[in-house]
Amino acid sequence: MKILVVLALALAACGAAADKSAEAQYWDKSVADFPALAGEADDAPRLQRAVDASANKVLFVPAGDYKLAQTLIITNFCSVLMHKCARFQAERPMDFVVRVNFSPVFKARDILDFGTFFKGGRIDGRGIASCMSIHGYIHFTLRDVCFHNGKLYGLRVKGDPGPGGAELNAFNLHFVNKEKGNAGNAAVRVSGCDDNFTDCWSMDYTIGFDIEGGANFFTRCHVWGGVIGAPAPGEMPEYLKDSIGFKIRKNSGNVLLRDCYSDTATIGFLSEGWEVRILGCTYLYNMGCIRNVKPEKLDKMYVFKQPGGSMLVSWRTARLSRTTSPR
Amino acid sequence: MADSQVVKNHKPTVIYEGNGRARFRDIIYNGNGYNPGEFKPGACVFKMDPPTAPKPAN
Repeated sequence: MKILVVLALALAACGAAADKSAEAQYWDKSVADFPALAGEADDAPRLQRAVDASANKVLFVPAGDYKLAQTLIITNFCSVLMHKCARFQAERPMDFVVRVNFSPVFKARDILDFGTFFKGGRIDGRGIASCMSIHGYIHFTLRDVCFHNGKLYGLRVKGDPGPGGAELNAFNLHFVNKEKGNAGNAAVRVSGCDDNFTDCWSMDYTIGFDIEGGANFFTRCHVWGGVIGAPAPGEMPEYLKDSIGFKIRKNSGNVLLRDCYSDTATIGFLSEGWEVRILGCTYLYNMGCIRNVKPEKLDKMYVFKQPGGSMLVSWRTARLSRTTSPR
Repeated sequence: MADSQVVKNHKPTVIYEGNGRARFRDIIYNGNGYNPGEFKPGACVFKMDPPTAPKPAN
């Protein structure tokens, strides 16, 4: 009997060691090891210390709310692994809650880290800050992140001066705005090239995807809105007024939308780019969202609006629907 | 279901408006093959310059 107990304990210890070893293989440092110092009223300083100590390493952010009174800046190829219940939230007005910018070292190709990533968690601008800016990247992975309440942007890609900005691989991103008063904002504003977005959702940003640059591909991206009401009775809901599902700017080329869904926007697809392909995409306007709008206050709705450029809309499954959802 | 039964108070939806070069293939509108000529006058606007007019659905 004693032998069995000892054996069981040994096996359990081995399992725990294996788990810890697996964790240690995946992340190098944890924010938990960077406590706030005396006089620090928010979490930005200790987060910045943790990032600065994790150059080319993986930093784990445990579950919890982290209040930031200044932007967290990542320039050292620190990859961030957020617990799904970890949240960065703006505590005061600022441009972005998180800035990733490798532009200063972009030309030093021998030190570029093509495996850098930001995964998991939530970034909440609380309507007083945009959520995240990524610039100067090359082959950067962004996945499983929720972007809440961005003032101007949920995510801004290549919005700064300086080199770099290609091969962003973005998966399973969720953009939700629940704050009033920021009409005109965009869930995603992309100016890079060779960026891929797959399985991304936007809710109640005025523009879902605002696109410029070359060879940016979007697959199964879904834009919807109308949950936030009108600023006054009888008017358009705040984020449906002048809304655009997918905006493709004139300095775009070879943009591909594949199986995307513009679900309730004043303009479904606005395209001025060249060689734009809109394949298998869908437009729907949920009329339930505007049932209380006075007729004279209604926006004129467009499925496709193309002030210039060239585009192909195809292929069989491009479905233009304006039926209403059950409510 | 006819659109008029679904929506009582909205302006017509414009399927396409623009001056760019565009090709449309196999568009489906509410489950039916789309042909611009099928829309009632005033129900929607589909305007393009003749040289770049969209190809009707096959």
